[in-house]
Amino acid sequence: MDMIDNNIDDELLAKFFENNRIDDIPDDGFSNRVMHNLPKHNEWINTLWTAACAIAIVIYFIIRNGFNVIKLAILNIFGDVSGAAVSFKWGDLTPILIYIGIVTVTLVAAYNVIMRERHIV
Amino acid sequence: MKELDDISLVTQVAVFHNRKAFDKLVVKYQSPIRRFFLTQTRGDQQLSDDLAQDTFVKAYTNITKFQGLSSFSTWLYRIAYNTLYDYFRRNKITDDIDGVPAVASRNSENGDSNLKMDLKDAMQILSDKERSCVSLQLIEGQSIDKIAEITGMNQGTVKSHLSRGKQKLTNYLKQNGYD
Repeated sequence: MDMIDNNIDDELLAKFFENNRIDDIPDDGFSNRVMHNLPKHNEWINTLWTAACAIAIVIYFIIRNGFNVIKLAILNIFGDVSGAAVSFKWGDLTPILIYIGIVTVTLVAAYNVIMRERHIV
Repeated sequence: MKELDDISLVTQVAVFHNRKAFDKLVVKYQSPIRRFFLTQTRGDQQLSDDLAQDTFVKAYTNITKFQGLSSFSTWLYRIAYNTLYDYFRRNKITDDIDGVPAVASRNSENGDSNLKMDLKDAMQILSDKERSCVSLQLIEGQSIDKIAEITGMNQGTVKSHLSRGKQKLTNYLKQNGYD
């Protein structure tokens, strides 16, 4: 047996604690009892904090004229899409471009399907 | 990853007072904390559960004081250790002159199914500090620097308690035919 200074036998101690290992203690409702005994005032603070944040957001939205900002953003997006569609020159499309587009989309789709099968994505 | 999960849950508790997040922490750490108390009280299951409950309630009410300088588990063990010694002080439970804790015989009368008799007997020969250090290292697998953080002792003192505790245990085990 491996002895070291001061009469400590680490090997013996390791063996003893391994043989007397305390397994994981089952919860048996302990967590529920703890949650039941937590102070309630924190819950009240939580509600107050959430309400204060919600009110602050609504006030900020009104002060900054939020509805107009959203309306403008939607109009800009719509304008960009419709502008892009109008300015697109269909005559520039060649068979080789269409072929490259189809191959690219097919490869990306196949890659995604394979990755999903392997649970990587 | 485990540390990040804990920090994420602690943040949810501290900022949003999210009780479900705290429940996850309780479920995760109830076993090691209750085991720690079970060893310290030499198998008094009722007392262990009461002290473990106090520990989690204190952790919840003081969660904003957790600064993330150590891991959440180390912080929780520190609260558990302080809760235990507060209890000892409150109940004036002190080691007698032979280093055998006066509470040992009382606690051994309270039955429990988790702490094996051999381990319970062996732990009774240690002083409170020796028992804390030895169980944190040999049962909970904590390193010396973590034990120093948990107990608030310096590393030299921890090593000294570990050395004395292990000597006592080695002698005890040999006298009882374990070698």
